[in-house]
Amino acid sequence: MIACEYCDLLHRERELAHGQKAYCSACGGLLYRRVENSLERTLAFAIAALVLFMVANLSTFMLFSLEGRVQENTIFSGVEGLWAGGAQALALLICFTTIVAPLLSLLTMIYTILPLLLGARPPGVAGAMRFIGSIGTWAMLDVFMLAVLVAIVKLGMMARLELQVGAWAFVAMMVAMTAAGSSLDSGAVWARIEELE
Amino acid sequence: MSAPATAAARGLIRCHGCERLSRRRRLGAGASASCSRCGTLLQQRQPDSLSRTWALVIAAYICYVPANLYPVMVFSRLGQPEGDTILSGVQVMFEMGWWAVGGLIFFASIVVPMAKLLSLTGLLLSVQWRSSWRPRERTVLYRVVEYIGRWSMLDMFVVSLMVALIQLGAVATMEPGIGATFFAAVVILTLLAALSFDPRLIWDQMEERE
Ligand SMILES: [Zn+2]
Repeated sequence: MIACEYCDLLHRERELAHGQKAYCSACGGLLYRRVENSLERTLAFAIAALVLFMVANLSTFMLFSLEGRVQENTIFSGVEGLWAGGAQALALLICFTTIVAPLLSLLTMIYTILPLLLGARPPGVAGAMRFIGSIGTWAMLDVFMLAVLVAIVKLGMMARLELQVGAWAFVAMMVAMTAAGSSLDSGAVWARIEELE
Repeated sequence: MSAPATAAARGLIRCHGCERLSRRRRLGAGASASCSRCGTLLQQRQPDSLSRTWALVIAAYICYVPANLYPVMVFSRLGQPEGDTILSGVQVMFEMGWWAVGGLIFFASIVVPMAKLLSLTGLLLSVQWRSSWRPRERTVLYRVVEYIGRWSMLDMFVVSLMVALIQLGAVATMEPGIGATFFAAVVILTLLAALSFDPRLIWDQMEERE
């Protein structure tokens, strides 16, 4: 039996085919899903996203040219610029939503799943799973990327902005992170833990 | 009609750590029960969900006023500061003919935060008044609010990018205004409010009626 997260209605769990999802009959909320090789897939996407995270943060994000001056920007140099400009609160917010939250989310996924695939139960799995569920709200890679596009239009009159390797890595990381999140089936995690015990 | 088969009505508690159902037991004063599979503290509903959500929503309403009255971005040229509020920023974009971008910012910074605050207020009131009106639609509304909230950060990210990119030196400067801080506070407070609201409360009212 499983209870709906949104309305508490009880449902009998049924076998699903790979890639299928089960929804609540009362409120339409997602009950559970079945992903083929959920753990392996999640781990693969999370590691790929982590590599892309490094590239996105270490290489140039965009070139900004204004009146003949060309400036190279990374994500972090933007945060530094805000901090130096006296907008510490915004700097922290940007740093948290585009750098810290995605990184924590990826590291927690790897921390939980890698030991499970190797045959050990990592300490604090329940906390880690809950953390993965709630940190997602604060990882705003998609919103940030849309803001970059808006800024390109707004500044287009006076300056030239060109996206560089870092930006493409950032978009790829966003895709890999989404894939990791949607491959993670908490049912598979707990089934694996029960198998190990 | 018989009582709906919810976990609570059948004496079960859904663990919010691992989703396993546990039987509710009578506990002595000060005692607590935790999940046998993952050890998370068992709670039938989110504790103090209504009062916490109310507190966060009211705080968000309070921050909403200065967020819209004060400039989110100040551009100074030769010592002449010129501030743009969210609304005047959108206006400028429409005047320049940037319909898509202006519409996007209008939707993300004006429509979404207001719709989100009003929806949360409506959900809170409906639970408090024990409404049995369209629980399914109210739950869907909650899920929309939960999903869409983060997109109102859009304009704050745009402001940050512009401030970080443009350092024109002595002639002109671009700085974030006080409105930006308040606006970011509105977004964070409403995100937290959506997280602390327990949508199962909408359905609890239904059971009490039957
Ligand atoms: Zn449901």
